[in-house]
Amino acid sequence: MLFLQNLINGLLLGGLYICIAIGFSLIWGVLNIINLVHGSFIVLGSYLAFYAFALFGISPFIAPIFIMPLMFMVGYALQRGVVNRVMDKPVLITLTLTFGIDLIVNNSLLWAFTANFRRVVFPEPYKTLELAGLIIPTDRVFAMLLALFLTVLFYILLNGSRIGRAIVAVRNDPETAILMGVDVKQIYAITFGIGAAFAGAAGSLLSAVFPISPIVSGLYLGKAFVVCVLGGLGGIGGAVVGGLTLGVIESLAVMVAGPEHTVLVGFLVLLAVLLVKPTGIVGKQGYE
Amino acid sequence: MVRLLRVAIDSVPAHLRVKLAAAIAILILIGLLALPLFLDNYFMRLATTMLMYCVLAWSWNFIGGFIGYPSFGIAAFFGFGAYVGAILLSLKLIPFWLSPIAGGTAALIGAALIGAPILRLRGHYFAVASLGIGEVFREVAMSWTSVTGGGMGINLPPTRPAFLTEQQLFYYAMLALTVVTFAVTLTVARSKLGVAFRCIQQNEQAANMIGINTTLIKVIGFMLSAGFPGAAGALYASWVGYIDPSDVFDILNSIKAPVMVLLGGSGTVLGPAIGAVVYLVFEEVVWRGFLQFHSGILGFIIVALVLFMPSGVTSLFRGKAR
Amino acid sequence: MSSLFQTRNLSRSFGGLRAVSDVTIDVPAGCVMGLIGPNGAGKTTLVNLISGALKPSAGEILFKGQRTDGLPAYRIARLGIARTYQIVQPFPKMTALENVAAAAIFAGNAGSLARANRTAEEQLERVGLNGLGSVPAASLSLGQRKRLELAKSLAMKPALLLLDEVNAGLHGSELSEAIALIRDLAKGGLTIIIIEHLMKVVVSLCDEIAVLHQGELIARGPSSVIMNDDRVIEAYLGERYSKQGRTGNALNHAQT
Repeated sequence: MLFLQNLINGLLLGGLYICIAIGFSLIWGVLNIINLVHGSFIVLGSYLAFYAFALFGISPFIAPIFIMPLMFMVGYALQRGVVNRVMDKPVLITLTLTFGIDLIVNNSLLWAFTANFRRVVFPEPYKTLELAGLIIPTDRVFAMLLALFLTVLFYILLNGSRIGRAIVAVRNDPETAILMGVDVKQIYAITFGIGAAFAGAAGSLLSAVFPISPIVSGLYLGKAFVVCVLGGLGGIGGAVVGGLTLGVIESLAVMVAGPEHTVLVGFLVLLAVLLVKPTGIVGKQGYE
Repeated sequence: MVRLLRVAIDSVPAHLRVKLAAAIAILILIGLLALPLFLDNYFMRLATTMLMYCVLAWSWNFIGGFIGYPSFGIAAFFGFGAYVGAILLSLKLIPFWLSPIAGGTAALIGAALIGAPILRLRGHYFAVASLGIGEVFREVAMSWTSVTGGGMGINLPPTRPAFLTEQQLFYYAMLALTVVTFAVTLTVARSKLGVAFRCIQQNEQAANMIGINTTLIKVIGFMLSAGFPGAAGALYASWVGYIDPSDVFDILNSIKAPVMVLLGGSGTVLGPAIGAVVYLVFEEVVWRGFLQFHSGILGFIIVALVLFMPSGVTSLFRGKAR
Repeated sequence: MSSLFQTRNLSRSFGGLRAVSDVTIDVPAGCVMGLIGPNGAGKTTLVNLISGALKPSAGEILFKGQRTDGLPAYRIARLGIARTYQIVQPFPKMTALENVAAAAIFAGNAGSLARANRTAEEQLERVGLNGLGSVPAASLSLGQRKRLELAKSLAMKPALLLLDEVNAGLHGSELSEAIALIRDLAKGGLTIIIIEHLMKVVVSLCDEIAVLHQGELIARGPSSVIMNDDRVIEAYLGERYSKQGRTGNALNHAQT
């Protein structure tokens, strides 16, 4: 019973992890850049949702509609303006660059919002369902459902639209994509924007469930890392598999060792995967 | 200005250049030895930090500069050494002067064990793995409260040196470590090991084909990049008297090392030290001037460096190739 | 005749594809053996197996009486097997001299850096690159890089030299010089296995020829015999043989 409860917790958490990781995985997979600003993007999304709720009463479950376009523009501008200049450089350069950008963004968030934690407080808190002896918090259920909805949306976008197919083409073979008339620079910027948009959406969903502060950006970034390595950079499948798997692993670890060690467990999983099968569970791309 | 220096260097005949370099080095060393006579406590601390940065930069240069594997694990071994030193000292198991040796040795062993598996990875995956190690170490330090004090950290017993002030003691200790690190860097750069490093960096497969045991060489480089930070960490722990996981395992330390080396010139002998000095100056100016924004401004500096000067300062002196 | 090098039932598969299948050859010391076969026959895979770049799926490799299959590439290099690559693999930012000296230090047991440099100069001269020692490898022409690759291999003091399409991309005088150089090396007693597509090179240089087709060794023997072997002609020309007739000349025609 306890096992089942933890399993459910894990899957609900996993849904959120999928959302956290999708944007990160997209940018890593298509641009071959590890975007260390991702955590701060998520936190920014959380703050946007917080203020949308506090000022306009928009629920964090609906706020992504507004937040995603905003964050898309932020990401697009950042890539077009700055990140684009290091597109073909080695990982040392790109990682250091995004680290530097993250210092700027995170510091700005700290300055604007201070480190104090905030919570989205609903006038009527979401109920907790009890089904067959299992405790199911409905806010997390909504978050997970929305995360899955966004994931499906993304899948449709990627496979159904011209831009989506261009993105896939660039991911698989940038040189051939150029020959086929794809504006690769534009695609890179758009992809980065989409990554930021999903980070913002994830932040919005997270704000419904967890407290918000710029301090936790590293925590979310870490989760995104682990999910992507665990699941693989092959595409949405990797993020889904990785997210759910990590959620379940963490919940089981909580069952065995208590909640203080989830971060450690996550990184141990990361190292284990890297040593055994770096491309992850689903991963096809042997991206270096 | 750069051209003047180039002309000056080129005008010295080759066989005298080595002697000139040695003379300059000795002068610098004497200057460093005498420094405590002229500086107050604040600048002494700054100087000690500068020396520590040199050690970290030179260490990273082994694995990241010479061999070309982008390690973000400097903080992992710095913290590891710090904790080993701190634990042994607070349990009064060793005298003070043994703590950097203990920290350094522990880091060497750790790197030897961890190095072989993770050096099979390349590029992004290696970078992520090296980052992951630091995170795992930090979390372990956080959780293993009985040994490490958990989030509360460790308080170290004060060192009471006989003839020097405490600040002077740590300055000279760090200076000694810096000299050792520099000596090793210089020796390696000119030795067969240095050639092996460079071969691996330029074409790992070809390196294997000409008889280089690349796994062993990479592990050696990784160990070198860990041992000195381990010793520095142990010294740091005694110096500041208190350490906790988020301080010594701070990711920022793992980023500072490559940034300093990039600033000065990756894969060179003097580049890391030049970069360390320049970086420290930036950091101090920013710290003093913009307390609230200081990490943001550091971020701007890093971004500017990466975008506009990725080959570092020594690339301006293209005459001295390696 | 003492056998310097042999493979026994050597195989290598990639998934379902058998790239090298049950190959048994014997190479006596001092022999120059040509390794020919159509594209995809498994020649480079075989060389990769010998040099340790790949591990065999089955079978054995013996060099100087010692098993070398399963050994890491660097050890095989130190034991005395050197190879060149079809797509050259220099150390691009190092000078030509440094490239060769590196090979001398590690596999060639040069001892000191100074001795390695001297060996490097000797080898550069031997391949005709003297004077280009301080040029970065990336700045050399293709022909020069091929010769650099050869100099590196020689600096390793090999007992067995594997040449993988070392003449590909060479024409005219560069080609004849290359052939003359290899002939010199052979005369000096070096055992050589050479993968070649140019039949005239194979015929003029090689004492023996081994023919691979779809991973299998289909023929082995002196050049004159092999050139007229039906199986070999069929392997190369397949259906085309019916157009040109089953003669040794057809083979020569196809491979210029």
